[in-house]
Amino acid sequence: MLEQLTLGRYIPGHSWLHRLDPRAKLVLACYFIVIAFLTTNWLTYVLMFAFIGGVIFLTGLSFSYFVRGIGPLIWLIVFTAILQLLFTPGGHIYWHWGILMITSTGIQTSTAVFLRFLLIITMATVLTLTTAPLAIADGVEALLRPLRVIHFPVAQTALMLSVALRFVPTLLDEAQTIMNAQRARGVEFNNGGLIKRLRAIVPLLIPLFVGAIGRADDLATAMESRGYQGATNRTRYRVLKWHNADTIAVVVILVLNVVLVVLRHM
Amino acid sequence: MAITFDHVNYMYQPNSPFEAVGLSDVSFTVPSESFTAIIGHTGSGKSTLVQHLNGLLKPTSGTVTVDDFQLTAKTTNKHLKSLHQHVGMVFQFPENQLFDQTVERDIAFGPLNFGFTNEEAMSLAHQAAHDVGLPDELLNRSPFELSGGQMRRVAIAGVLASQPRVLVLDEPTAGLDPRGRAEMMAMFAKLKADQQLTVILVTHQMDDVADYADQALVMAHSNLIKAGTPAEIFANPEWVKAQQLALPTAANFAQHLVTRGFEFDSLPLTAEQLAIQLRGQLPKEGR
Amino acid sequence: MTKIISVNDLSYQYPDADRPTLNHISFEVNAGEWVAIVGHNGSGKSTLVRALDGLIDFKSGTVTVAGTKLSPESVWLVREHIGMVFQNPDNQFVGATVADDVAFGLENAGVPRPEMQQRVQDALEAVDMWQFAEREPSRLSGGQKQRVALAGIIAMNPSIIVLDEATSMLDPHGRQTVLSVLQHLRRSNQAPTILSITHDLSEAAQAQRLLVMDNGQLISEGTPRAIFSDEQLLESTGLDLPFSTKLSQQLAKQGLIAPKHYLTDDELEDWLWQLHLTM
Repeated sequence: MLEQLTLGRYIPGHSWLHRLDPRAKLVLACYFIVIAFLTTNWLTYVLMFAFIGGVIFLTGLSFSYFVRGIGPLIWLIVFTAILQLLFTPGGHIYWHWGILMITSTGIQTSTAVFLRFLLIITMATVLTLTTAPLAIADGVEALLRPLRVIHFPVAQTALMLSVALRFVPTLLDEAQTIMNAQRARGVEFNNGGLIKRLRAIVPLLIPLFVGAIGRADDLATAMESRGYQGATNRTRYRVLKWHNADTIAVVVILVLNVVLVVLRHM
Repeated sequence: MAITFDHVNYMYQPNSPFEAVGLSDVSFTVPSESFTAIIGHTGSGKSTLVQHLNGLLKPTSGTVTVDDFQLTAKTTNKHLKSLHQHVGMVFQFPENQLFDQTVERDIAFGPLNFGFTNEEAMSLAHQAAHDVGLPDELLNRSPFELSGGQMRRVAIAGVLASQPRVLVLDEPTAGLDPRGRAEMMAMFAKLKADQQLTVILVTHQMDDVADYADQALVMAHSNLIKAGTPAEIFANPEWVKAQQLALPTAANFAQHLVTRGFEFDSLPLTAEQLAIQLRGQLPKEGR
Repeated sequence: MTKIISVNDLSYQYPDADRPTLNHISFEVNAGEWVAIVGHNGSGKSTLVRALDGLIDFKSGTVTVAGTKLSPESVWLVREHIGMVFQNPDNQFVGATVADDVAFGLENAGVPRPEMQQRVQDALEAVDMWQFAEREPSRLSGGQKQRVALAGIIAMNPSIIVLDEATSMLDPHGRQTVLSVLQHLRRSNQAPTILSITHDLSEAAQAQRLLVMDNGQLISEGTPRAIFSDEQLLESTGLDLPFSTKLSQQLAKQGLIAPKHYLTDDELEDWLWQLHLTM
């Protein structure tokens, strides 16, 4: 199931979207998520879904991959929508039982929640699929840079984030190996009740933590031996470059915003 | 326990952009109580292959047979437990799987999972600790207080305690010093003889292949490209080099001697075989 | 010969240990020399080389590197002279990509970006990894990661390179590529002093001098030939016997004439050939 989940995963590529500056992508994805809440009537939804469809096309990845990738999350979205449906009062009441009710307002809001949630998750998936974790970290750092004024340790945070991202695959591999080793010793990770499953996690978590602490210790030693004395007075190897395509992307999303506002009132 | 792979294919993450071939049409047989080495460079499919031996991976197509147990794509996880018990896996750097508060409890963890009573599990743990040469006074210590070599022995005892009939060893001597390596390989040979185990060893050490293996399987690019006795595998040094594999030290040395006019009926694989084949080609002591 | 490393009466005990890990150690290394430290696991080799880099806070004894006495004040200066490659390829890879990792030391030293780009490229070319500059570490083999670690050090141009079992977790092919980078480096203008910890006798044989450690003490030192001739020493310190020695023993067992003293593999080959000609 988790293997299918696409949110948070990066697929290397050279599409137009892959090549956008991560700062542009981060800001635009956030912007899109905000304006997703401006949707009101069916025209606005058609516009937003058409737009995200176009964006998916630009990723160069197959449409069915997105559908399958978002699949595992659909239940989360449906669940949220159902909660909205059952707890929203107002308008015509079709059915009620205790505090639960289905109303015309409820149907409207839950549909809106469902569609907006879908838009947001698709956009977040597009962002992570086309942007390397390191590029996201660089982008976040660049966007946080103004916070240095209030003495927020931006450089340290960025290095910490980049090192953490770098170790994610290493620790995932290690977790897989430990799981295999414990399964070979008779542990069943996907079987039994909640208590049994929780207990099965202990032989995974302890070695994983012990290993991670050992790695952190080694890494700290290596960093020290390579002259790391804290994040001050360092120069940077990696810099971000803003291209025309990034400006075009910004213009496109601003146009989208304007059209959306116009359609709202139709 | 005999093991048979019958046209086994394995695909990683099928139907995704990460799809990759893990095993491609692999077929071979390992006789019961034999010692089989699996060689091939990193990423050749060795690890994927051994994970099929106890059902950690299931073939995408084809059948793996271990004794009378058949593993196919359709085998359900419920049926895997007896396979897990009968095929013990010692992974690379197995000390990384230790977790319990005492050495004794960590070793007994497997047997307890496989349904032995507490009393039986403790007795099996003590026996396994003894088999791998762990002194009794370590049993009540925390495994994390031990030296690297001792921790590895605890982990191996933790696999042996479930009384497997097949022992799979994935580079079990990696990171040990030469004495530690020699002691550990000798220990496996003794365990195999005492407990009539079928041993599968994944290794880069061609000298270990020469010294211990009855047969060797050579993996490359997810394919099994050669199977045979060590003598057959190393018989053609050009082929071995083309696979980016090394010859056993003695075989390599013998190769040099051939260019100096020495003759060998078959390529000697160990210092002892080489010395024996040098009889008649060198003067005797005290002549 | 100028001494580049001087260690005098160095002792160290880990806070929770019951005996010292380093016990009154003294030795010197000449500039440009290749010295290998051998001894079984737990004999104190790693602790010793960490002490040289100020990564261990020892109280007793002195360490002098390139004329600078190691102290809390001078430690960063000393570290500029020493580049270290550690055992585990994964745990010393700081950067998110190959190029980033090589740049890490340069970034710490505040090297301006244009110069940094050039030095990263040169160093990666020196270890034959430039084509992997944008790769992430999870997509590299162990040998490739260690070559990247070496590139990170070459980029800093230190006078001493310390290898703390840098090849012990690699497969034979990976080990060979790392060793050939070192041999290449020895012949370059940089020609750094090399101090390597190893169990691998063929690797140790490339050194000019061996230091043998046992139980926190330096119990012997000499040329590889001198150390390899001493079978008792090799066995008591848990080291392997050279192949030539093993074969000589087997020859004697078969009743054949065996060499009376240690020969390298090449010398034994010559020796057998000469003998064969007399048949």
